[in-house]
Amino acid sequence: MEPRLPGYAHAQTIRAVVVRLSPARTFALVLRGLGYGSHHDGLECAEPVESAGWAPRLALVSAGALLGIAAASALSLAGSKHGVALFWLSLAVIILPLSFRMVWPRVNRTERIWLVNILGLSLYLIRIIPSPVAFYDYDEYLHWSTTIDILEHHHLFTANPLLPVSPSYPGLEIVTSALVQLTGLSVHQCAVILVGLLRILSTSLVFLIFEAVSASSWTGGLATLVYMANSNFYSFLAAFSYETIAFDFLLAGVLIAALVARSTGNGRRRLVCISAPILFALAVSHHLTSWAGVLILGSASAAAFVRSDRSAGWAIAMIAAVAFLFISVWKSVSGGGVNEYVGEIFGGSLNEFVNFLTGTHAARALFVSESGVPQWVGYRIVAVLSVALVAAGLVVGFFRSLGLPGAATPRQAGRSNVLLGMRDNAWAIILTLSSFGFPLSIALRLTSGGWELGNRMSAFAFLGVGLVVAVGATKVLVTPQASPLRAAVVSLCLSIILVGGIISDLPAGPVAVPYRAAADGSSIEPMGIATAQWTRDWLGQGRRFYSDRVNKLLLGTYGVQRIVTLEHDGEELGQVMFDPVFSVDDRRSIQNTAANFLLIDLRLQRDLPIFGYYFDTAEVPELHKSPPLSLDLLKFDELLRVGRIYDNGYEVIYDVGNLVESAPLNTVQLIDNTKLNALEEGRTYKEGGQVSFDAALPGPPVAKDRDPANDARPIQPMRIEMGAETRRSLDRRAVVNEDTGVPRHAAK
Amino acid sequence: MPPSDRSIAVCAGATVLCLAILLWAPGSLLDLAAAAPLVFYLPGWALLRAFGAEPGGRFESAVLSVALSLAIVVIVGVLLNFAGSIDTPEWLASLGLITFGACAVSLVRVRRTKATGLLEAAPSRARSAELRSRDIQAIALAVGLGAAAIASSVFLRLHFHEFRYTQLWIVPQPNAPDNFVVGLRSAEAGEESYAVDLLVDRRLVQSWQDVSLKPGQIWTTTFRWVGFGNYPRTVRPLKETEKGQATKAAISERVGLGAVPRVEALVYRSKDPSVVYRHVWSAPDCATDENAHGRPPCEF
Repeated sequence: MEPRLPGYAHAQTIRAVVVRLSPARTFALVLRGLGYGSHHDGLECAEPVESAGWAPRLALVSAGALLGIAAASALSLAGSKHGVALFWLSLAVIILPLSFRMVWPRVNRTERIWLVNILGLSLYLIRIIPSPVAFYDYDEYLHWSTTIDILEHHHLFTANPLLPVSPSYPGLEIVTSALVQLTGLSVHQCAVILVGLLRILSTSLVFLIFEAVSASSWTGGLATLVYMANSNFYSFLAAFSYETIAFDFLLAGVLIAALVARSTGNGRRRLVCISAPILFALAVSHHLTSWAGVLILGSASAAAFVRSDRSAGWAIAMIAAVAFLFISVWKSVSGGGVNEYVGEIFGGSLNEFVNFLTGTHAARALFVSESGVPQWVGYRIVAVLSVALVAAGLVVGFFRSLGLPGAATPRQAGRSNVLLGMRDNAWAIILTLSSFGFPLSIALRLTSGGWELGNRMSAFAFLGVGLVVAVGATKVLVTPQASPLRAAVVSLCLSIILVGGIISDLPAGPVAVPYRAAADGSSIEPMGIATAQWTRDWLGQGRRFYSDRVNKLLLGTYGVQRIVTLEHDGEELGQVMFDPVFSVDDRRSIQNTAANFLLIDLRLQRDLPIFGYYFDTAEVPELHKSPPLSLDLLKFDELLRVGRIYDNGYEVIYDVGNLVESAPLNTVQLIDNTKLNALEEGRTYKEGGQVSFDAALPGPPVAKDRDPANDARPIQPMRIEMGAETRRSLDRRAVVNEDTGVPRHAAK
Repeated sequence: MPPSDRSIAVCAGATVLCLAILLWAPGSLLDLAAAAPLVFYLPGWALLRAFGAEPGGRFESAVLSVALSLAIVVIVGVLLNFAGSIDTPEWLASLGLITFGACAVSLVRVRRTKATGLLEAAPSRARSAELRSRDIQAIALAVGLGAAAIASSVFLRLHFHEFRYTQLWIVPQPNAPDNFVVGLRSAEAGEESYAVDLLVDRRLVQSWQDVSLKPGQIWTTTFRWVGFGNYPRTVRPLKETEKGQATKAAISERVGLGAVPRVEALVYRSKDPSVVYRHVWSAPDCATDENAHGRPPCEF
């Protein structure tokens, strides 16, 4: 044997390390570190005894914190700045103990079910407290209007000028009408009860879906907690809006499909049958959500074909086909301009996003409201942290979630049967892949037009985000052997994620605030409601009204009036309101829309609009550099044919019905001079705002032709010329002015 | 009675009870207690059993029952729209029939499977968690506190009046276009005393002093439109200056050079009679050309 040189062993070690760290092996190591093909045992709680555990005590704590929220609203309405601080403190008292208990591994299933529902219901009640006797969100009034129509006409598909597509998808309004008609309660009361039930239902369905997919109530509970952080959960999916009920039907359909995946034979067939009514109700309730349902079910079916058993794939495909069939049937039954409505949302958003990517459109200012008010720095920090923590959770949990085993894979399976990280759990595959929607939704929110689409996507994307982050947390961060300290840190991180989601879905402020103009829910108060009710009581229902964004809602619901809108009447009257002088175009607009009444809210002078406009979305941004002047809003005082029929010191209603009369412009009725009193002869004229008398102008003599007998005779009727241009003609002496409508005589 | 038969009987009995309450004992809270199961739970529960599609687990079954019930209500609403009208008797009949029908089908199905001996494996149920008495007390207290939070916010909202105001209006009387109603309603903090002036063509025709209104009270007066003389009114002569120079109007254009007939109401607060508090006037309610829109022509 040859003698070995010194350092040979050292060189061999280095050689071994270099071989080990080849690119392929490095990549494999990284993937393994990220959980590719990892084991999936030990996710379930070892606690065998089912009980409510800490849930009743935590419910008590949450209820006490709700009193704090109510106190925060009271302080805020009284003008105190401590209201907001008390709000966040109370919210922390609700969220932190619940999230810690959910993170803790040794908690039984029953308790987890209690915990997620306590949290979901508490967040709902927090949203109700600032406005418990009236609807708050803009969208709620749109659907209330449709509900009113159903209750009055006892039929569906009546027109709703505020949201034309709403009557075509009346699922929510049907259930509400049933409750109103059976109980005699008001629409608002029934809506609060129904949406509260929908909140508990959605929380429970989300938990069951995650539990069924991960086969772990621990993961299910954590995933539900993360799911609540989506930017629609706190406010939008707790509103009286058609997507709220549709989303519950979607979740029920997904749960049934997930149960189908682990059922066999007759049980599977029966589940497919029972999904039919739910999917029909989904098609009747909301357009986009029903399409999302088809997409999700279709994808799961495809995943089941590829990675799972084919019979499950066929069953899920059947459910998807039924969903698609019902969408098509309902669209043909209901009619409605859903294509235009949906096309506008998608087309506008995507167009603006593409322009942003190509550099032709600037990004919107982050953390700044539409009225230009920057968000408080604390909110920004939490929002950024929340996104960062979600991103970290996605990295840690992605492959672990993708490789969750299905029913066919034994628990202790190794890395066999893994293809690109996927095992045989079709739903785990689809939900994990859907988490890619999260960065896409963040990117879309960089543009003003894409914000709406990005925001709406969040509710669907977080079905994946919740699962991925929860699997990452339970497999890596906490583990069943975790210490209380580590659990506390993870629960704090999850709480930050949740609060970040709440911040992104906050209305104008977290608590009730005093009146603020042009701020949706913060602009709705008893005086405005009383004015709308006055119109119904004294003018009757169905009168053609126009007003600003908030008062349109009140008039359309409390007043049951017919609101003039672009969609139904071809144009908006916002410019009529802003113009300092009532012009020809303004008169033409009122004629074209046949508006009967204008409600002017003088309080608009106080503030800039929070949502970017006062009257309609087409307002020129220059108009928002300062609020409108009362002088401009009250210009209708100067119009002779207009009545000012209502005044409460803050709001004025004008009757502009006379302006609807079509009158030819630039015509005057000729009057026989001999019948006129000479004093009324048209030597007077108006020019440059001044009325003048010109004795040199031709006309009948003033004195000598005067017949005293003519003084008592009525003169011929005059046309009141509104909007005609100033003109002078020596032949006909037809002199009219464009804005005063002062009648002029014309001599032959 | 076997457990499955018993539960179906309970469902049917509950449906009967709910229908009976809604038909014969109207009262909001009781109606709500009866309507809630009928809308939110019973039809779905019965249909799940009729199909034999109960998932394993009591919680899963309850959740799907609620979702299915809501779906059934939506479907019934759509069918009622085409079949007749959406109203209370139709809801009661439809939901009752569906629930009873589903109970009957599930009973038949259960009896048939027993008769054929093909007993299906009962869905596995986890050991039920029983609530201890202190848990029940804690939950009851939590519900009470939550209700108190909501009640206090309701109270606050109902009694928080940021705006105190008085409404004044002038509108045609319904079904009597020649009549006008002038109305005044107080939403001030306390009792207020007002003076009301009624003007026709800027001439005072009637006046009321010391109209006292408490918050929420309404005062109205009705008058009839009987014509107002010649229109347009006579032009008042303009002042002439020196010969050759243009003259300027020395009067209000609107009054001096013609006006259309209208009625105005002005309101003053008795404690500050120098300031017009509220001011309204009617639109001329006659047509000046052939496009009358149902209004009588102006007669001058």
